[in-house]
Amino acid sequence: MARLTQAAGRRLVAGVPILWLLLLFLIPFIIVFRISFSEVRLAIPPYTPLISWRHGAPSLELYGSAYSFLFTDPLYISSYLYSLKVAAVSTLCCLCIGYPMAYAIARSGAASRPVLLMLVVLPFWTSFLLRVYAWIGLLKNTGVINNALMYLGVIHHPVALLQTDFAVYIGIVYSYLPFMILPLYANLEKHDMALLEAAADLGARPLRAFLRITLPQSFAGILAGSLLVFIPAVGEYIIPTLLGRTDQLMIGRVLSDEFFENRDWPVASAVAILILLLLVMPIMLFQRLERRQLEAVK
Amino acid sequence: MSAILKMNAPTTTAAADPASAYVRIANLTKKFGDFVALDNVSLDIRRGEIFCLLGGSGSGKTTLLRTLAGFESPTAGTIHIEGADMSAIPPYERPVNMMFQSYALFPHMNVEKSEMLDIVKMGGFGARKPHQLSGGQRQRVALARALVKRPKLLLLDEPLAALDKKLREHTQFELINIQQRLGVTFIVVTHDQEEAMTLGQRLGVMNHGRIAQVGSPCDIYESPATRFVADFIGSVNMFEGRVSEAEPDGVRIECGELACALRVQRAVSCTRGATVWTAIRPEKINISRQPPAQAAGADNAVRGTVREIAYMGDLSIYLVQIESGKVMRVTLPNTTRGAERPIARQESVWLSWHGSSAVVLTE
Repeated sequence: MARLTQAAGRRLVAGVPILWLLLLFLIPFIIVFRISFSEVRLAIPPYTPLISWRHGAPSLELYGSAYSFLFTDPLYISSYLYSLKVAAVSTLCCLCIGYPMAYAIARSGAASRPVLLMLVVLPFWTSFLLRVYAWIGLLKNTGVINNALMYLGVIHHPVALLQTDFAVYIGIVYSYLPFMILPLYANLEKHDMALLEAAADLGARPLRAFLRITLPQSFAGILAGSLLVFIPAVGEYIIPTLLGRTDQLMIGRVLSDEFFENRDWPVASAVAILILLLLVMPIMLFQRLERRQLEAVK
Repeated sequence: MSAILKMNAPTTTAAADPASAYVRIANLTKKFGDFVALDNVSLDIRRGEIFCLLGGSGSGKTTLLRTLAGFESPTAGTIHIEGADMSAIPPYERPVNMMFQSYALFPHMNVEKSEMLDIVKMGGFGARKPHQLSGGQRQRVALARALVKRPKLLLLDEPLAALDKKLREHTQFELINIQQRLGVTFIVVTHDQEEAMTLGQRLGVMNHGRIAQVGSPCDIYESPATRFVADFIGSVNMFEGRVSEAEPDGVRIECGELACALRVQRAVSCTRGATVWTAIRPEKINISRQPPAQAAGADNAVRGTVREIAYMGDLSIYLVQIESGKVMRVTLPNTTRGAERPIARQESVWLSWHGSSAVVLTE
């Protein structure tokens, strides 16, 4: 009896997240996938049905026009590539800034560590949207940065900071930095200090010990942090919309415009499916690498 | 006379000959906040010897080793290796290597090929990663790695602690063998006194951040300098008493805990009336049904009742309650297979020992 309830309990614990993923991920995905193979029409819903009755017989209506459209209009390809570039550069910046911070926190005293971690997480206490808006106030032509530089005499005319790639990078790096720091910290904090001592003992100077011992061992943390930044950055909508260029859209903005402005659900769905494909591949790669790392540690 | 020489020998010879001091530790103090881990430690290590630092946890032995390696910087005092001051030398430039207690093998690296692998009999394991090795193999690889740079001084932090008993004994002799082949000076930290006595040509017993005694295993065991050392190494029966007669070749001690007087035939520097402690090792005591030759009322003989017998195979431990109520520990080797009439529990027995077997301690 006890074993029965235990088995039932185990099934329940595993079942809830599976059900959650089924209802809120798999089913919406199937719906979007299905819409991406229809054509737009003026109706409610604004796309052709999957099965239509023609001469009394059901016929399957699948169209690839949404996908072929994505590859004929250069707007989509360039938005994809631009999004990948922005995400990649932002991830690299987050890594370069986040790694030293995570390292410093992991090596700081046991008493100051919780405080430092708290400071990393502190920005989340303010609305994300508000924080991005605040950057407009800092970056615009009459904003804090330009005003300060002009007052100091460094520049005589305002420098265009807002609506540039630079502004998007600042926004993304600023917003996603904690997602880089936290997994890196979790990794670096677990490192065995005796390994660094052993490296020093064998004649490695601190830089060499870092490159040969700490860096390779923190690979899983680098990968986790990079994916946590890269994946949401590719589909980022708010930051490029508020801070970014108007002549070059990111794919998240394109998706939203197709959906809400053009009411072209099939093309919007096709864009969404392609983003997903673009992102699923690095996730799968990550999981494979992580599994290999785990095996190595065992 | 020989007793005097023996007792003085360990403390004087090392300091008297500075040329033999390969590593010279002078007035070394290390504090962690208020905690004094090393308290004014001075110690000379000779070239090519195996020196064992023995002590309980928190005695400072590991701190001393880590300071030698350069992982801790001393609060005060100096370390010289081959006459060179190590104060400003970082760990990666010291002519010293360390074998870590945890082995500290790099989990993401291969063992790699090295001649040292052959010396530790791990020649074919170069392609393996640490997680593909057994505990004993890891220990060998850790040793090979520590030797690969041909250090003149190798520090070993509890090198055998993670091995099981049989493997540990075997590896002890192998370590000595390797040390002699390569001519490296070993400083070994261990909490295991058997390990220290087998491995070490000389031992340094540590307590509360100080060196309690330095000497050969035999010196330390047979002529402990303090009560702590006598008690820490092996087991011992200890009696507090008062010196009643101080003669050139020995002392007589009146002891409330014993029904007999103690006569110790060893030179002891103490005065009449001084409080001293007499230590007698359990294996130096005879146990018999008949009164010993010196008979009742004589020195160094006492009556008692056997309370417990622990049969250990090679020897038996007897806990004998003497007339004062104190329990003495006696060990006898089981030299024959099943004695005809072994001493049983609750039997009344005589305990006796030779006057030269006891050690008088003044501190």
